Amino acid sequence: MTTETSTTLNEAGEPILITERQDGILIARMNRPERMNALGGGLPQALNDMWFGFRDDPDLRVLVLTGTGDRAFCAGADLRANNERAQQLGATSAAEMLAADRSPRINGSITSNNFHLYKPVVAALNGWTLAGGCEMAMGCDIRVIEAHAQMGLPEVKRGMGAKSTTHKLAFLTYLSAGLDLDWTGDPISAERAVELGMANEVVPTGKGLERAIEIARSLAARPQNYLRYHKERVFESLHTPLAYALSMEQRYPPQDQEGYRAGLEASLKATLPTAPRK
Amino acid sequence: MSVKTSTDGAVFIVQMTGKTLDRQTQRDLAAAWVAFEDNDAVKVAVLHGSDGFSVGHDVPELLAAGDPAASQPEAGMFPMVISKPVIAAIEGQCYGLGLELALACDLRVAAEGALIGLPDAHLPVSYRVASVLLPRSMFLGKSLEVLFNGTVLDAHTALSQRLVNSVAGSGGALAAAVASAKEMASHFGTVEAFRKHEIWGMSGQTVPYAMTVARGMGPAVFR
Repeated sequence: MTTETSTTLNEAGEPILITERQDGILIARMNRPERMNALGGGLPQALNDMWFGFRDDPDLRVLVLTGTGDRAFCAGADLRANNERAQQLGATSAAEMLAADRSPRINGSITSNNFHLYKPVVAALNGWTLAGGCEMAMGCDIRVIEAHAQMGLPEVKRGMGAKSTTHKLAFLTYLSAGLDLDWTGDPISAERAVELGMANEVVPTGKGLERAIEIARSLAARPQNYLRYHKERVFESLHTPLAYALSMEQRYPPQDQEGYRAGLEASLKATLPTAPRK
Repeated sequence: MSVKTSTDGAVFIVQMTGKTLDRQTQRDLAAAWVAFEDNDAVKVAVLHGSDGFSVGHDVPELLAAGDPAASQPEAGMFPMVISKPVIAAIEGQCYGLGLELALACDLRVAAEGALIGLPDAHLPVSYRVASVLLPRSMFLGKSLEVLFNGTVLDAHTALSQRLVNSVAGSGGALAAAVASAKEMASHFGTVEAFRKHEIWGMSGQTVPYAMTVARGMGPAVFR
């Protein structure tokens, strides 16, 4: 497991996943612009390694995920690469392909494991965010979307299933909007994505990564046990019966005595905001 | 008294007189909710503050108590268990535990100039109620942002993020909430109480379970 820049190369001979550390922040950039950063050519494996490397590195606090260029964040599964892989394996069904490439840590991590990763993940959506790319974005905690970018789940138009998306649609947006996205397969604009809760804010084209890093810096400066605690509690209590969720909350002590006292003393000195802040 | 109550027709008005939700205020709120529940002449309650809505925990009191367990909320912080509607009228600052209390009300009216969030000054106390109720009110991504990032929302942003139901003019939150409460009180009865119970009680239950309970309880209520 590594958070280093991937050794797998894209068609231009550059690393397929470029990572950079800035203090406690890991910035990961999918670098297959010739294929709209689609998930193929070793990118899923590189993302997977990066993801677990981030999780297991105590010095890393926040992950920022983006893509190279202004065309796409990620266009989803690389169907051409999938086809080549199928021919190489002699596979005649998706099930056979999955069986050949299955690893207990792969695939699911890209789109779903965020629910068990209690460090914040910020996505900068720098262009088309489609299918598996959209699912990956939905698996992040905070999404910044550039004005020209669009999000969508076109699987239905290809007769494919968005396998790890359906539950997240109901988490992120609301029932009828989620079904609309899933059933029509039509992409939505950046503004619409914010209206539906699919993204947190729209930024001008070219400014996504900058804003995502700004958010990440602000998160990295906060007490990490607080962030972890809240992410864990939010995901564990979401869509459980309310009475159960509230009573479970009361069973968890907020934190250790020492940190609690120090935090309270610091908060006595802090001033309360007198204006809105992002 | 840390909590003052009064009535305006069928509307029960609860005012927090301090800026913080110290232990005494939380206990007095519990007593106010019981008085509201037991008084058949009042149908809807409005909760408001005196200088802003509330800035949340009384930090010196928590420091004096020492034990983190002392930050556990009292019953007065959960007005959703009362059978009649409670409207929060939010003027000025509504932070931390104050926001958690507003989230436990049924409806929220914010005035222009209201400031709503979990700012840094409150970070040491984990928001155990907000981590449950925020994502049931706002979109998940936005609620994580508020919980992670100390975001403070103005009234209009709070409205667009589904955190409040409506926005009133500056200084007008209480009047708007009372007007809305009077309208609601004119038709609030057993059926509406059943709906409140059903909406809060079924939050997070599976749809088949909720439908079964609704079918089982419906006839008794509507008879």
